Amino acid sequence: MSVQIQVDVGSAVPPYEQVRAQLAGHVASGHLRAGDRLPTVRTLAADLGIAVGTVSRAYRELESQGLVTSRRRTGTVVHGAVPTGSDPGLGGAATALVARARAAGLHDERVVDLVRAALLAPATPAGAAPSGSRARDSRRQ
Amino acid sequence: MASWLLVVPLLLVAVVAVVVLVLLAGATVGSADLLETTARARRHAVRGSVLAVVAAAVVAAVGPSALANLHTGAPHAAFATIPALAGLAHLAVLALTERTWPHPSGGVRSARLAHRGLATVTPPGLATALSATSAALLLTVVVAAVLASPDGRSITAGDQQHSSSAGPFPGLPYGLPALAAVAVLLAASILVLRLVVARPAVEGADAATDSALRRAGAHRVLRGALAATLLTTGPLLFFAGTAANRVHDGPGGVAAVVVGSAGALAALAGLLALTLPAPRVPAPQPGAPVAVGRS
Repeated sequence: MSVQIQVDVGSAVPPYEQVRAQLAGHVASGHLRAGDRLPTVRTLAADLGIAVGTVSRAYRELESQGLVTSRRRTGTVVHGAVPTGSDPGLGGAATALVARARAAGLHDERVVDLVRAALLAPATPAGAAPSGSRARDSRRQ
Repeated sequence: MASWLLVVPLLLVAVVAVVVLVLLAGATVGSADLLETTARARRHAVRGSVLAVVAAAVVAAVGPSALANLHTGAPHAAFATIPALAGLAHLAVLALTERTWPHPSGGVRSARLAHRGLATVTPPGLATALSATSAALLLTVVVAAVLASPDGRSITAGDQQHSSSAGPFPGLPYGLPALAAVAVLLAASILVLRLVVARPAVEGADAATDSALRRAGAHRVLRGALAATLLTTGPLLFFAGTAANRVHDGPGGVAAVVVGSAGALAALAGLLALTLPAPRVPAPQPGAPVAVGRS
């Protein structure tokens, strides 16, 4: 399977963040697996027509998240999946959220906004849904 | 006689080149069937390839007289470097072609997350042939240096009372410049191959098309380097064999004829190597996605 990423140079999201987020997404979804070699920084920058420093920053952030490792000889290699703590069902919950949001006609960036809003909400007891922030975001659509 | 030795192989190569072009014309996917970006990239590559051959031909044509005018004491020894110099001119144009490869220009750009390196674009057959020819050149220079007379330009056989010499013989005065020039050519070839690997993918092209364009670029690099190396090694072997045949009788003379003939064949193979067709862009798959970011 040919895994691709896209960069919208007209988007408000910085290109490095677009690259980082999509690579992290491919790792989390299993499209990229531990041991897969990523393109070199120069190669990916050339293919996307963006600055080398932009891709380099995305790779550095992925490395700091523990998703990839960079070695002089082998280049940048996928290290492993996004850590989900002690709950292995988190990945499935995220997939379900995306499916539900798309079924509701939400754009991907709005889905990310929803997640960000949930993260900004005050911590709630386990099992209680942060309904306030979700409701607020839904009204903004 | 000497002019026929040059004209006949060139005519043969011209005929082969025309036949290859005619055969390719029937099997090449038309530009109208390709994405606009792919067709533009292919035109860019072909234009660069033709200009590279023209640059090499110019250097090969004016090189001998330019070197003769330099007259640095041993101008003829430098003649052995002309094929490699022509190869370097060929590489310089190919490098420029890679550096000016069309860049993605759309608002939304995509890239495949596949790692690519020299091994993924280098045609193994040409790489093996180039390695073997380079090894043969090294062996030729070393053996000729051992067999040559002290002046390095002739070969002498016989005892102290009855000896005979013949030349030109490719001792170190010929062999070292040729070896050095080919070494520079090989190093430059690797650098240009790195450019082929690192250049932008063609916007919207599928993996097979991008790979074919990249392998074609690497093919052109190695094709020119192989031709230059064969055209360096071949004449050295030819002159070594011819000179040795004049001073040796019996089995030694036969071996010299074999070496000289192998040199002539190697030189001819060097010219024919220029006609090896590069990999072609495949026909687009039915239902293939349109170019991302095309306007």
